[in-house]
Amino acid sequence: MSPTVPRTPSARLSDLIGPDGTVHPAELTRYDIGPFTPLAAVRPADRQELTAVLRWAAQTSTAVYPSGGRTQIDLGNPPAKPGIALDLTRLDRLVDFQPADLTISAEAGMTIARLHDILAQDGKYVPISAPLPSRATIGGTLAAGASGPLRAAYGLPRDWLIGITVADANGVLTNAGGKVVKNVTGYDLNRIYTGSLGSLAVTVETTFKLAPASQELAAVVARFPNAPTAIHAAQTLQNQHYAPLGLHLLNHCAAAAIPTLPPIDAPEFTAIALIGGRASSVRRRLHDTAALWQPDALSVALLQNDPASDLIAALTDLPAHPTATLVVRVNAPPSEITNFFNFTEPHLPPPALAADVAFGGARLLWWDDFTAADPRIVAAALQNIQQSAIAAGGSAVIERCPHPVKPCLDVWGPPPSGIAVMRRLKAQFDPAGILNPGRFVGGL
Amino acid sequence: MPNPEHPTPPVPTSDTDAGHGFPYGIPFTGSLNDGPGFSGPDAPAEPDLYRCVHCGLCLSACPTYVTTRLEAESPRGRIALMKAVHEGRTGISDRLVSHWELCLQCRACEAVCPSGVPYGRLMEHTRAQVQEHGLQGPELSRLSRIFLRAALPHPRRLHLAAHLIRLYQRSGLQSLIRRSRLLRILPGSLAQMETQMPVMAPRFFTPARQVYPAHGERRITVGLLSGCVMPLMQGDAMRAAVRVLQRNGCDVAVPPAQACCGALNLHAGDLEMGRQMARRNIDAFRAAGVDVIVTASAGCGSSMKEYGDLLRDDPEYAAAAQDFASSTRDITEFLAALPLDPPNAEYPRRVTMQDPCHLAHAQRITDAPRQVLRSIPGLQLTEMAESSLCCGSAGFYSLIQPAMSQQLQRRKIDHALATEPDLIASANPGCIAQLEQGLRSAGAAAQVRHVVEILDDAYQAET
Amino acid sequence: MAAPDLLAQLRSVVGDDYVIAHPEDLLVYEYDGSVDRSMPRAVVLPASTDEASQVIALAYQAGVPVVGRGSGTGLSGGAITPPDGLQVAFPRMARILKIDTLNRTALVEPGVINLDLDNYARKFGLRYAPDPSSQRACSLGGNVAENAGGPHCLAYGTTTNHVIGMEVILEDGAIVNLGALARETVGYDLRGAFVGSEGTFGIATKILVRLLPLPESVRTFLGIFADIDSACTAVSAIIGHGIIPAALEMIDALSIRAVQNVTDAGYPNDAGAVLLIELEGLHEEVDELSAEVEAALWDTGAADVRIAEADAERERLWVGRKTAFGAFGAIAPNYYLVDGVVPRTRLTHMLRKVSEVSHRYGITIANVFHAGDGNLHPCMLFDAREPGVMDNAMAAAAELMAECAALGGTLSGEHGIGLEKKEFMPLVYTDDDMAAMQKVRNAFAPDNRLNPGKIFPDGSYYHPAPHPARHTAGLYA
Ligand SMILES: Cc1cc2nc3c(=O)[nH]c(=O)nc-3n(C[C@H](O)[C@H](O)[C@H](O)COP(=O)(O)OP(=O)(O)OC[C@H]3O[C@@H](n4cnc5c(N)ncnc54)[C@H](O)[C@@H]3O)c2cc1C
Ligand code: SF4
Ligand code: SF4
Repeated sequence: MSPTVPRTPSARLSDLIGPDGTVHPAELTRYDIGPFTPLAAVRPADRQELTAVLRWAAQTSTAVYPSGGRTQIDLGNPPAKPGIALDLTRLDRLVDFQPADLTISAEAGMTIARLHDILAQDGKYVPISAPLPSRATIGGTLAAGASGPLRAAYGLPRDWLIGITVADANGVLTNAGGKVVKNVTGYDLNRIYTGSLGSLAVTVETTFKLAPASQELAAVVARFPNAPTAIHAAQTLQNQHYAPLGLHLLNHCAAAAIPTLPPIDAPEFTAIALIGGRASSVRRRLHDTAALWQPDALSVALLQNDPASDLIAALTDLPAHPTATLVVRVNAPPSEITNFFNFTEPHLPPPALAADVAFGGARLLWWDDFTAADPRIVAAALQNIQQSAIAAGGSAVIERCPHPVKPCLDVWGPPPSGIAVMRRLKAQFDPAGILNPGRFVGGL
Repeated sequence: MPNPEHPTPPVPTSDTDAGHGFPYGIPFTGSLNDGPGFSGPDAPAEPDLYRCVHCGLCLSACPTYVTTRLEAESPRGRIALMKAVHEGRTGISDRLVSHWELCLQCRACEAVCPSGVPYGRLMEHTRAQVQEHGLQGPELSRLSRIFLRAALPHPRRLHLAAHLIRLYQRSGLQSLIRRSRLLRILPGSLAQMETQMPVMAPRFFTPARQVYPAHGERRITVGLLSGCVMPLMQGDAMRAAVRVLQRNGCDVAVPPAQACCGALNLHAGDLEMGRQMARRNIDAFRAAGVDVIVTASAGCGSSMKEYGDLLRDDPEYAAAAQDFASSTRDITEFLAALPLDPPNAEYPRRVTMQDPCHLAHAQRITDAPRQVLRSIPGLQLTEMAESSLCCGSAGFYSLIQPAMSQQLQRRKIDHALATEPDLIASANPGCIAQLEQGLRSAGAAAQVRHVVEILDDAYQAET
Repeated sequence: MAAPDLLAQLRSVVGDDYVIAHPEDLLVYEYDGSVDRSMPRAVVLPASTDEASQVIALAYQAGVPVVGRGSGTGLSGGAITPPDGLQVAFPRMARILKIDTLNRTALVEPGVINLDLDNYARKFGLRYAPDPSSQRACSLGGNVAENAGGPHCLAYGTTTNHVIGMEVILEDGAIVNLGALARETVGYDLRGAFVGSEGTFGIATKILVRLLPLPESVRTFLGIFADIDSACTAVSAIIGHGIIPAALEMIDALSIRAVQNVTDAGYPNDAGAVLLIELEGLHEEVDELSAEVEAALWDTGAADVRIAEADAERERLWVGRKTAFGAFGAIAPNYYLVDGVVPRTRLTHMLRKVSEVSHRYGITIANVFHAGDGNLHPCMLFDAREPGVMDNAMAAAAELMAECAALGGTLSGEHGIGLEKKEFMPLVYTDDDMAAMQKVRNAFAPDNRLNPGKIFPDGSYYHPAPHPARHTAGLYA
């Protein structure tokens, strides 16, 4: 047992989980959240260690900042208090895979890439996707509420999560949902935890229902001279029986940021139809989509198999583009999202814009250097975007911005209508405010 | 009022977390009122009542529920009230009766009930109990006194009354009275009755004593029900029916000794009078020696097909009643099955079919009238929305429940006119009168015809 | 007790005609589709969100619990109201407010009937996918509360996958929007939590749902089997093969006969079980999958396979499925339905258990269910007027639920826990699990004034009326 001299938290923590699970102070900066460096970082090996850490945190009122692959660690407002980083990547076991039943259970620290690999061996698929899948973990992806370019057809991750085990703020493990694909027994906590940014509990294990994997993947990439023709082409396709799994429109800056697309220099618009499924239907969709777009398009290219999956991967990775300085996620219904192509904001250069026109959503990205800009002016411009998104029936989240800008705004935008309920929810689950404090909507 | 920072209540333990008067459903004993219960052999039967598992699948078929969306005006609600009386939890009261009497007895619920609840029978028996205890609503009780007991069973009195009505309508007295303010000083329902009064046919149908012979080779001998009001209100339709049957190789007998089918009495709960009439008809048609009994009135047909059930406990008539019931056909059903000889000339009309409740729901016949119509070359059949939702006629319903009746009438007319028809086809005198009246007040040019009238016209157009 | 006072206040909000308080009129508001009964103090029919909000606020101030009511087809006693409680029903809030064809959404009031919405959407080439067998009667408000499912939810997901946003009223009358016009939102997914909360979180007054385009091609199969075991094997074969049909339903011998008795749905009377399978998609897809499904059916020992493509024939096959529960009324006057779910690979095992339980308890049990997602509906048929039979049925139900839980399944797939299954919650959840759930309720309804006494065990075991003909509404002892 450790001596009882006054200690830094990490010293006490190492007693709980052993030296393998603690991170050397010199490596702490790996766990930085923007300019914030945690007091300590722990890497529990199993549930016992995890719950022990959480119990300790509860007793000592120490804030806990859970982390997975750290691919989206910037998402959220700045941490509200000092605390420790809780690295969950060692909890990465496959718990149960039932191909015949189309379900899988895995620990939250498993990476998305590994999850997909395991499933692919049996021809199965789960539409959970995040940028940088070889690092992103299941837990982190769910917490961030990330979703991929095929979500129009497959729905959001919350639609596939059927069971969850979490450790609550007191280190107590609880289950919700189960291992069956249909379940109304009790409240649907799966959906409450998904997208909660770890502010209610720490995800330990997840169970998903599965889909058969597409036999083939394909894509139609067309270039259009201007936004109206591209939008028209997309909307027409959307009304066809052969509508694709995903339908994206990119302005030329966004298209230029996708390495797998042919180079683009004119201010043209790129429409991408992502196609998958049975081989026979993929052929039909490819053919009919190309035929539909041909008359108005400047060019139409058909991609099949690897090039198509590379394109899907590249679209998935776009929001995490390594050199982007500013990334905004806009949620708005399909009829409104296309208006963002005309969006101009006097204090910001024109963005790269990639819109998911079938689902309703877009990413705005900038690569400009904002270090010299007044953070308050940048923040005000971003808040304008948030207001426009709200006016369009949606919302906008500042996923990445220069550190000085963050304290000047709420990255989630103004609190949504249910904020009173959300506050009570947070108070119920985390009365001491130790789970990812300050980072979520309204500073929760 | 809402406090965004609501204090966190303690997590409830497993025993009750709030004092909301649990346990629920404090045992409920005794009756809500001192009204009478159900009694006697004609009381709604327990097995019929408990066949209803309150699944609610009948709700959307019920015209009164669809209009009000009130559970008490739904089949399930009406059955629940019957159950409550049966269980002694309440006596028959004015309130209960008002819910039961808003029922059109259209039996749409029965047709869709997956559990096979004999709703029509339950409601007839319930009304019988209501009548027995003298608890009918004022409108119904007056009507049943005058009309159901005094007139319907007596064709001659009915004839006389109809003559008087026709005289009234054709003498110009009607328009005079309508233009005057006289109607306003009549009590509400009488004034209503006046405007609802059917337009009497210019010529009544007075059946010949002898058999109407088949044209060409005789295929079958048919006994035609003349019924009570139909020959008076829609003499043309009756004549058309005879001609159409003749045209299709039928000898048509219209036994003079027959009575009204008894449907209206039965629906009002007057089971005894209904049984008397049934016996008279059985005798009359037996004497006429016909192969099959055909009616052009869906309402009558549905009652006649249930004579077996009605006279089940009558040792003398039970078997004959079964026979009678199983030989009864609606005229469209009969013609479609023959099958009929299609007209050979074009009869270009746009027609929409309104399904009479007692054809569609009570007899479950919806295809036959359409088959008949489709056999007419050039005729274009278009379907209206909710074609089998009651039009609000329902026997004397329009007189007893004018408000609901008119709502349903309007709904029906709207749906029918939306198909832009030349003709609205129906197969029941009550519906035809109701639709005619509705079209009149809508000022629409479309006309209402019995299916056989349309067929007859198509035959007339042959060269 | 604020009874007369409260009623007067309520009348002043919604109008005299829309507060139903006479006990004789309340007799029709004491039941839903389940076996429970209890007479509310009054039923209020608001005409607008505003009225509903005022009504609920008044009840809150008077300390009176509020229970929402849709069409009363619920099968877990969800709409059953405590004797001192107020029922709020929506016959006057039953309009389809808007169909947005570009975004493929419909904005509806809670009283809209599921099938009416679907039929209306079809005029625009769209449909509302969740199709509970009660769809021609049940309301969207009730669907949201129960997270209703249906045959086509196998491919398209249950209600929660189709609700984008809602306007709801909290227990104190506050009006809150959950979700938004956009499918993705910020903050906790309160929308997701609300769907399936059985009326305990709030009363929904507007619902924005997703509509799906109609498929290009639809094909319906009837796989006919000599016994239920081989039908189960076929289900596993199809799912295991990686085919998720639009619908995959099983109907056992008893149910086939019950259905055929009432209406000719085209099921062979002598079959041991039939599978009703529907494929949807592009022509090419449907052709390809059809061949595989057909092969799977023959391979697993189907006695016959029939394929319906014409609308009329498909409809006939479906009518049988959708009226099955009602058709049981012809076999016995009461039914009690277990809504358990098991992993699909355990179906054979579970159905053997059902049959074993049926024999051991001497209760007729019919099975018509969503085989594709492992959602059983063993339906016990009995006459509750026979003494002791109800207790017997409950004991059998308890055993079946325990078995589902033991197989890694759960208590309810779509009907909800409500009153009838709450005491069984510990079979699948620990006290800690349930405490976590109650935290969410405490966030929505800190004073637990909405539909109290549902979902969570409180020791008040269900004791149904022993003899419905001599009613005692002793729901709890
Ligand atoms: C024959 C039959 C077949 C069925 N088949 C299926 C099926 O296939 N799948 C399935 O999922 N279910 C099925 N059910 C169950 C039932 O139809 C569903 O649960 C349905 O969603 C209930 O809707 P309702 O309008 O009747 O609600 P009700 O029974 O009136 O109420 C159900 C619950 O919803 C709450 N509620 C009602 N309105 C609101 C509102 N506006 N806001 C908040 N809460 C509200 C009530 O308080 C209650 O808790 C079936 C039922 C029957 C009788
Ligand atoms: S009458 Fe039939 S359909 Fe209506 S509730 Fe009763 S059992 Fe169900
Ligand atoms: S007979 Fe007609 S009006 Fe009467 S309850 Fe049935 S459906 Fe409703």
